[in-house]
Amino acid sequence: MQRLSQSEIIGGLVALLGESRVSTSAPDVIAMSADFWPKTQIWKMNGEVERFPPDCVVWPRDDQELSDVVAYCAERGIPIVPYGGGSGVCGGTVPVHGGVVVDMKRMSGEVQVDRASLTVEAPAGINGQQLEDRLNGYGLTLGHFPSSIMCSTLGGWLAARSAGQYSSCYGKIEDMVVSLRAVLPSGEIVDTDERQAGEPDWTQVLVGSEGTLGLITSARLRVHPAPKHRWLRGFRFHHLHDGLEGMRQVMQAGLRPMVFRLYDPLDTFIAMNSGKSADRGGLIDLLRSGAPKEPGKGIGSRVFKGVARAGLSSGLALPAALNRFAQALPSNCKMVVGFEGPEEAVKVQAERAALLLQREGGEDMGAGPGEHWLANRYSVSFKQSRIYQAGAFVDTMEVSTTWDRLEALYEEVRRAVAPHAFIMAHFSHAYREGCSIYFTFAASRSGSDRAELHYERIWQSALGAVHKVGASASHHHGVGLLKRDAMVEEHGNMLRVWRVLKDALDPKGIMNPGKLFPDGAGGA
Amino acid sequence: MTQDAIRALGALDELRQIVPTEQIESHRSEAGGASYAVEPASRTELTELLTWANERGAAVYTRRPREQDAEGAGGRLRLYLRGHRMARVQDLDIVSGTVTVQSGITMCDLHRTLEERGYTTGFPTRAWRDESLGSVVAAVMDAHWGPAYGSRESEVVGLGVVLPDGTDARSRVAPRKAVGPDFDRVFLGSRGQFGIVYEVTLRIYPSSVRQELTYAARNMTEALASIRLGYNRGLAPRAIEILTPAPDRSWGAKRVGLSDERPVLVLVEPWGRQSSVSGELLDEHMSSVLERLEPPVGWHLHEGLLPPPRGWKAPVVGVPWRRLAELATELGDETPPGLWVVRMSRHGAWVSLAEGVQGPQAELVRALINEHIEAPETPWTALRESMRQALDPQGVLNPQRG
Repeated sequence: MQRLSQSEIIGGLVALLGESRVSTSAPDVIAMSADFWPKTQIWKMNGEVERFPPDCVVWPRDDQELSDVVAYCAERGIPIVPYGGGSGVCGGTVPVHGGVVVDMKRMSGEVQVDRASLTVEAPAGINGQQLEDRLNGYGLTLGHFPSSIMCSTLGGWLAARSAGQYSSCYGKIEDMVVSLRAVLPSGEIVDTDERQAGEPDWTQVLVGSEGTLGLITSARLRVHPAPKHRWLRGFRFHHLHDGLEGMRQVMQAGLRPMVFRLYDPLDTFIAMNSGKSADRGGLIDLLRSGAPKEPGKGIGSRVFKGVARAGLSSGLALPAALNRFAQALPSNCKMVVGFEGPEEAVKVQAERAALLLQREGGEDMGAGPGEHWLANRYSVSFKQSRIYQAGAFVDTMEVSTTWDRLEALYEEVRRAVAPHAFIMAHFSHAYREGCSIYFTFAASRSGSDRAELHYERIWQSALGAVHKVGASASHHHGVGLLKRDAMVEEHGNMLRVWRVLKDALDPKGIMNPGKLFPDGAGGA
Repeated sequence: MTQDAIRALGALDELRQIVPTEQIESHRSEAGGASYAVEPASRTELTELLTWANERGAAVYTRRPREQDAEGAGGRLRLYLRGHRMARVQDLDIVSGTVTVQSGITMCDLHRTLEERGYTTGFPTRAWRDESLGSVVAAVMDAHWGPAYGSRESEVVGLGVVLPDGTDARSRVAPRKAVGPDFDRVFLGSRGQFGIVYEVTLRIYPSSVRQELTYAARNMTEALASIRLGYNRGLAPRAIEILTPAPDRSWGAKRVGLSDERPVLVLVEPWGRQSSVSGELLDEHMSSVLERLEPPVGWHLHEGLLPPPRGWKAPVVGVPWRRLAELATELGDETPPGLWVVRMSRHGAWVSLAEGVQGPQAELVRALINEHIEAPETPWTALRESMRQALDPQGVLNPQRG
């Protein structure tokens, strides 16, 4: 079938939604042509503000309107790209094949709370912080606090399998969701309801599908009484291994910390000298100012001063040297741990955790580091533009594996990335059986085309190292465009299941095309 | 010798090239079509068997033979796979707290192996001890400890599956992933429609002595109130159940210490070594609201209070707490016998009522259960069938499921 012209597409959609909720204006099209993926920032800094513009943007207000839009596009083979808050960092909403961007944010109406069963039914377009605020009004919390909470939506959390900063206590989004409502690529509105005997778990099939199997319109979620008590502490370990062993002991003792983070020696050094963690802007502050709080103490201070003198971009142009110097830093690692909930439970858990951490060599730093983390936990999203302005780029990679391979994963990724970018990490989202590592890397952006190639080289090296160790390439950022090709190795023959699902639900391939898995992946 | 017999002999010869003779048992089939029980001993044998079955157009079952199979298979050769030769523990990773095990192992053997090393999977229910791990995950059978340890499917951190065409598909073992849909969930609970689970990686926990605290409540409202208050104090034990005496007198009020004034049994099992809150604190709370039963019901007796899994025909449904509380109000002080409220969490519980219980109170419970009984056809039925057709176009695996 020949694809409709842009004006024909718009004409049909205006008939469905009215003129005010269909847009082709430049600000809308530019805004919806990218998400928070650093590569799209590189494009923009190189003057390409809309490499992949959509044909138009639409704003349905309810399930039926969304269903009508999807059915219209399905009949005509028009690509549909769902858009929530645009906070994704993997290019999951970039409309690489054009088509219609469906902005879900107007689907943010009623929130229905069942206080007795501790569940909430909420629309997919609701902003994360607004959902939490509404729940707080009932004395409840969802317990889901991604650092993007102020600029992301419930639907985005579900579609990309989000995990919040308190995941060790409250679980991840897939643990919170009871059931979903979605519009399938045919336009049919369906509920997953609760798990049925003999059926696959359709809720968990849609969660994480990144808009490729359907559009999530609402969800029923488990909620919790808002905590009345909180305990926060910092611990210092002399070696990374000791800190990781402490984390493992705490998780395997059955404790459920609301926050549990261990910073590697470089990240710890930056935090100690800038007051911020690397991913909270501390890296950039330190590299730009070159002014550690404890000047003259060792080679690390001199390196940062040198980078500041040379300029950020020039300093980062020699990442291998920078990383070598960083290895000479003290091996101390900072940990932040906290518990919240009913008073007795917090007290008992905190005492046990402190005991276990001290047994592994942890030195109590008091409440300060924890309080500081809590106060600054969302600041990351507002820092990155400064890095681009300084002629560099920064990105993060969150990977996960079991405890037995965790340190090997850490070393392997650092080794692979060190020749290309300045790299550091922290460990968070701990589980009984393993943990996630959150790498932050920064590199110079000199030369427009070269920056993009350089960016791709870093990721290829990093993902190659992840696969070598047998770890998973994404803990909570999702796949999008960034990790799409790496999924072939990650899933192997399991992609047959994907192909079958995709062919059955979306035979024309209109739902967020080009994302999640390579075209034709899983074919026989 | 008939043509059918000659064909069967040819098939047997081919089968012997995949698995040794001692792993094949010929069935006598009155109804037509040859049939064999086959015991693959490795993943390679299993994948080759399914590949061969596709080439031969045979039917492969992952359950025991049934009378109607010959008709259902349309005269095709039938293979009944037995899993007990694929019952090895492949890896016990005590650092990460996981065990990777072949799916043919029985739950009993798995737990014995783990108990010797001081671990459990959190699935110690005696009723399922003879089931294989493969059947437990394929049917997502669950245990009393589910709300604390997690449902069976949430305890799986990696899966190995042979697809109907013999393709070996494995998920990557990781504590958590955001790499697309959770494909493991397509196989877990779908009763062998889409593939055969041959290997499972599960979380393990330090084993702890089972300890049970039992209490008597005046009615269900009082029982629920005490449990909710406990949750609000952060007291989340490994298991909580509300039971009323069996209608068939297999266990009665006197056996567990219930009285006419307090006819509702509340069973609570603290976490033992996993506990974030002590059993003493839990007992202090529960006994401040309910009457503590002395001596408490031991766990062997507890297992006897629950219905045998394959003998229990009454529906079991998940009910949110709000509806449980409403039911309790409707029942007042008259709670019917044979009521079964298990796997309680702060969000709700599983509810069932023994067959044959009569009276207005029983009808109230049945009305609630009927509200939550699944619809026979859902919008997903068509998707399930298309997936099955696409993965298994020849209908090799478990044809005519049921």
